[in-house]
Amino acid sequence: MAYQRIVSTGSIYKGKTGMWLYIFHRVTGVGLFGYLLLHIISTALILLGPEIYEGAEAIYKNFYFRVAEIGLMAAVLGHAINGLRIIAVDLWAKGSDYQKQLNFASLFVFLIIFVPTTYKMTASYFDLCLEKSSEGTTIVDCMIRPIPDWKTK
Amino acid sequence: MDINLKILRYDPESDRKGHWENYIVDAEPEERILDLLHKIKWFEDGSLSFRRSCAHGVCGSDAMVINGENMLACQVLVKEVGNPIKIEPIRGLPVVKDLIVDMEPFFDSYKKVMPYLINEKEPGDRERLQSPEDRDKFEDTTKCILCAACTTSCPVFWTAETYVGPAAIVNAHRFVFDSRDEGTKQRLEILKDVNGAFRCRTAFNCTSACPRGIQVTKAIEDIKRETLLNS
Amino acid sequence: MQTTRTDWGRRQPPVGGSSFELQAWFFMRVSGLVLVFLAVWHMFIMHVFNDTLNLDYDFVAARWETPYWRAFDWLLLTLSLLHGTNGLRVVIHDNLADKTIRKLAHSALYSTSLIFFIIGTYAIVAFVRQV
Repeated sequence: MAYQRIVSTGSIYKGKTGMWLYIFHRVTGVGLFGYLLLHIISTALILLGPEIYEGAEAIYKNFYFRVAEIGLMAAVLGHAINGLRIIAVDLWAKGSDYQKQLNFASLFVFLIIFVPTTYKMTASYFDLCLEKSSEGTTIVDCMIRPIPDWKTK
Repeated sequence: MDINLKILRYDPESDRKGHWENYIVDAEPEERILDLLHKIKWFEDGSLSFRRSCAHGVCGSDAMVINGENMLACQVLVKEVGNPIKIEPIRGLPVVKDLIVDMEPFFDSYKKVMPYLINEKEPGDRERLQSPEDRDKFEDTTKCILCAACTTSCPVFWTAETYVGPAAIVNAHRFVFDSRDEGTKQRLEILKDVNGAFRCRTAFNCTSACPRGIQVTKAIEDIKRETLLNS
Repeated sequence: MQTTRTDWGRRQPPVGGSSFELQAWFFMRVSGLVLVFLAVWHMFIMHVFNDTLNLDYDFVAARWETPYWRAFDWLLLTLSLLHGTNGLRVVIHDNLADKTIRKLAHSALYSTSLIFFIIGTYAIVAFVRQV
């Protein structure tokens, strides 16, 4: 008999929050591992002296990377808080009874930490950019241009 | 009321992959999805294949994906799922024809956990007694009807066919927490395997899919903790 | 795909008995708990209390003058690599059904992690301030 193994048929299974959190945890997990490898390399460049290390660091000193850094913060915080939720479900005998409450609690804790963090990271970028740029530089300039001469204090 | 049904059809003799077919069926809001499938099979298109036996949510034959979620067709009413209605076979198991899947891999996993009482002691001339408190420990998992709604809703099972799946673990739970049973060690040993309980990633799809309301994920978590404490 | 029928008699002898999956599962929880503090603390130091715009050679050199921060960074490196490697091992296992491809992917993963662990450890241990 010819069998066909249909795993996905093109329509998305309507799982609840738990399924999406599972997917979120996987995606951020794989993403963070990739970033970790990149981060190890960029940090190890410090062995080659200040010029090379700071040359590599200079790539990060623009607004696009600030947005990426905020994304990184979201991934780390999300993976960490969702991980705590998973630990609660796994190791606390009543964890699965309070699954929905735990989902809400994790989202709440995530927002409580992530929102002010995002504000700080955004505001701090523009503060430093305006401080180091010439008179008349606008926020829009800071968004489209890398920070000039970021090394000077 | 005209109901628009979209059914994922597959005929192994002529199709290489599944295709959607549309049917318009006149139905009352209080009718079950199974009644609609009957109307199609009996009056419109006799080639439509699906399983059903008792038609009252006990035999567990007619689990299918209805509007993106695993349900028993005999348990769900038209008014509960709305219009149009999309029906697909349950996922992760080989499709035999239309809505019929090969349940053998599912039952093999079930048998793997030894779903029967193991007690080598002489029973004497009466029943093996158990306190109501001890009975309550596995009350929830006695309700399983082996419809495969939980196992085929599991995202891990969709991609990893070797995972024993929630249903097998639920049925292991039913005996592991039975004070009369003596096979706990063997069952936990089986579920400690790479394809056992630790493959579960707590997506909770199984819990919401179970037509009997079994707290499936909770049962799997109980097994994980029991294994941890027993090692 | 033809599924072969396996006969399961009553009284199956227990299988394998390897506790690896249990230990890996437990390790993920313990290392995850530690990493919540290490990684989030690290992120806050670099992105909130300081700004990464000010991150330069001097900053790292000053940090690594104290053995405490070298130990902190090395623990973070080791735990996150182990945690990530095991996570990816599971992702590969879940998504690659073909045994040969899976084995290849696993070997690639383990060698990558080992190489990066060596690079990272070397950087933390061997770093000497040049200027």
